[in-house]
Amino acid sequence: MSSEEKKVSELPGTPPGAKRRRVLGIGLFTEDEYVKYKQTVPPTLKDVDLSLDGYSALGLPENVPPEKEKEWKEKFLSGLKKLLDPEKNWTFYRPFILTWEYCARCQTCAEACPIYLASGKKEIYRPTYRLEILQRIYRRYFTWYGKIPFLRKLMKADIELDARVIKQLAELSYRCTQCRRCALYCPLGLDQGLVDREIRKLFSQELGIHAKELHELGTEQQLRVGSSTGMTPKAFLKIVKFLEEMIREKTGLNIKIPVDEKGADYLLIHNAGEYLSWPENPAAFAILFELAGVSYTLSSEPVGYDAVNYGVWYNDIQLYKVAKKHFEIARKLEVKAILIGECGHAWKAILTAERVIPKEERVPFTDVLIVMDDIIRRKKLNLDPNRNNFPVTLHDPCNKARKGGIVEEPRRIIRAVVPEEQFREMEPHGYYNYCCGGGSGFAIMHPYNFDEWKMKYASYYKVKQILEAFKDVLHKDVPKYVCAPCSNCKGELRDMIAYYGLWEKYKITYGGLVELVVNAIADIPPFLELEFH
Amino acid sequence: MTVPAYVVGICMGFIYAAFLVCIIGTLAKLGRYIRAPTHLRWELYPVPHEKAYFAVRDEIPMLRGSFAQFYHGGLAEELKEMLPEMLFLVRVFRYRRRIWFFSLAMHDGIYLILAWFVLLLIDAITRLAGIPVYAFSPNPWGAFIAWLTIITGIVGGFAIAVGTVGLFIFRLADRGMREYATFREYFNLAFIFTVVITALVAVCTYVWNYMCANGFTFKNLVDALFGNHQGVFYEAMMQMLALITFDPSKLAGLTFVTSPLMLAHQILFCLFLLYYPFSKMVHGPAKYVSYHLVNWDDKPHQEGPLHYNYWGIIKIKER
Repeated sequence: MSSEEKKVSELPGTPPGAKRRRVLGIGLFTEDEYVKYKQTVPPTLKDVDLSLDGYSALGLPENVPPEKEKEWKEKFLSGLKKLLDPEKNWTFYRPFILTWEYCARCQTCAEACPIYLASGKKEIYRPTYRLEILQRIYRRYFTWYGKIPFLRKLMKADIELDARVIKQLAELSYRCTQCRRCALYCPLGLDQGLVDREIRKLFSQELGIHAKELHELGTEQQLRVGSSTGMTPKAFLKIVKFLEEMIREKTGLNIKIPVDEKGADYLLIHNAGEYLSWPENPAAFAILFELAGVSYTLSSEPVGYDAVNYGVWYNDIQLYKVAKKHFEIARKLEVKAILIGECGHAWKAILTAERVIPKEERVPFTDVLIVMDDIIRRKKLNLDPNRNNFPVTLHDPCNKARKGGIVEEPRRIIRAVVPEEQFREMEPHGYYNYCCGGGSGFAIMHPYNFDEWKMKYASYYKVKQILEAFKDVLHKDVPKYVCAPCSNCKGELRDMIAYYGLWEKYKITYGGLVELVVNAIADIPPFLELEFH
Repeated sequence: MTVPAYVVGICMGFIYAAFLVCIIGTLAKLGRYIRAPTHLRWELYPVPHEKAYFAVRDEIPMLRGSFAQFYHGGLAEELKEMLPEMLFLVRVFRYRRRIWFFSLAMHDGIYLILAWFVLLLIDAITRLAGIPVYAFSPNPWGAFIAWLTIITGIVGGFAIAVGTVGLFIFRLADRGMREYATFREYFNLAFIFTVVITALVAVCTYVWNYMCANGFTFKNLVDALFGNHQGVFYEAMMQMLALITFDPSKLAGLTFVTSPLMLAHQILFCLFLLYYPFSKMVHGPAKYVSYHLVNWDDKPHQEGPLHYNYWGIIKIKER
């Protein structure tokens, strides 16, 4: 046994198994350990349940009144039944039931999970752990042998549902980035990432438990105000003006960004976070499309200027509502296609939600990476790769690559705008990439002490990969660029570069792909500034 | 020890029944997944039959034809991905090599036994056509398929035995597998092992007794396996002949397949066939669904949703 493995087995709490009795619920702690741990946390966390692993993404209360516990328990069990109902859960019944019935626990997927590996193989982060817990609860309450006490242990029907377990399972569903790398490894083609999503769905649609960044501040705010960032149509129009000025200042080009123009080829929808955090990204698109002669428009209608659809991570109803709005707006503007900006999950969401939209309400859609690739291959631009003469690596957003099929396009683009010797791949990359750690909404979730968990576990493998990709040029004098054509990935990269000090130590920064393309356009002044904010 | 003829008759009836239940049960199970409501797109790339699928879609006029050069796909690509996966368990080899050997032994052993049944069928049909089928048959085809039957059956049987024992031990020894395994997983492995080991013990006993009586020579060994009018595989062929011609009289004079141990084996095998469609082991056929109808299902939306009931909460009127 290697020393690393030995260390793993010494970690507190090894559920499920013989030692489970000494563990609190399904989490990492024993009762004594948890009491001790709670004494060390800051006052803001005193009333928050941290019993899963010492962290909280949902801020569920430490003490739950008995009547609430009873209500949760009933709702949880009715939700579990609905998950297995082909009518009520038609949206994901087929993939879910296959995983539910055929996962053989060969544990091949464990080798794929960056969180499980980064945690030192803590049992609770094992990809099959969620399914195991869910099935043990199912067997306990819905099978004949679960009702016979002495058979429960033998048949692994031994998890009693109480408020603690419910809270821990809810938290546990927010410890997976749904990157679905495990599904790629599965010899049976099953999907533990989907199980995670379905557990979130159960909690959200049945118990009303969800991350507030995804629900109240996310989809609900988007449907109410227009954007999950809280940006109103008025604010959006102001930002468009600001972008036009920014373009004039940077490049001298007088560009009028088209908004609400009927009959354009594309309705371009960016992740609204771009306008606020990385305005150079939508500005770069305005320049690129102007110079390449692409006919497009933005929309100022609520939801029409924000491509995000957080429903894809946790809730079918919200997924449906947001997608419906996107298609409605595109029809109203009479565009030929919807064009999704550099946002990974927006691409996956529109792919996924397509089947909830009736045929006559549907508009074709595509992704900016596909369109940019097309522009470059048609040689519509005068490009000088030497403008980007610094080491570049490409982070494949899971939602664009593994879940969205776009892998070759960004590579063809990069080869056209970056000198060949400066581009380096991370290993593994493409379909097999590691998630940045911000997937499934984590990039926008910063509650309580959750950031620390994200940085330590979810982003660890990405940081390792980035450093390995740049290992020959780590010197501080050489600025380096991690290209991530996805807003959420950029958000997570920003946090991890700050947390691990990658800018101060190694001068590693990050940005989108279109910035590199516009920076390489020889007819205008350089666009990109390698900085880190 | 001989078994009364009516027991052999009942056993034969049981084989038909079990075979039918197994086929119908498996198809029904698959039908359940295939007929399930069309779920939302949840494909996982690389999808072998399509590349940059959305880009090549003709419905976006601005991109029409632009990506045709990158398109490669079709059935050949799917088979290139799926066949090695089925035959050699590529994903297990790549990512979980510790259990690969035993897993491969068991799965390929099962494939070999399935092939062995087909070979027995070919043996029986060849014999019906009047061609002598046994190892030293003067007819080259008769000899060829006899040898193929011997090798496939023996290798397949031993492979399953080795594989199931190995996987059973791994389930017990590997912490990740042990703590997640239910009683049923051990039971399934033990069940397959029991079915196979009864046959292997019966075969070995028969061959040993034959050679003790007639001398330890290579010819006697082969005769005990697939001789002319004797031997374990000869009798298996005759049983297949009886089964396909619905004629129990073909079993007259056969001592091996009607021995108590072999009858026990056949009953166990039938029980296995009855159990199979309702167990986790049907994951073989189910894998077709998980790949073709889920992971590789990138079909664009055509008809609109069939269901408008979301979680029993939103019910939108169907158009």
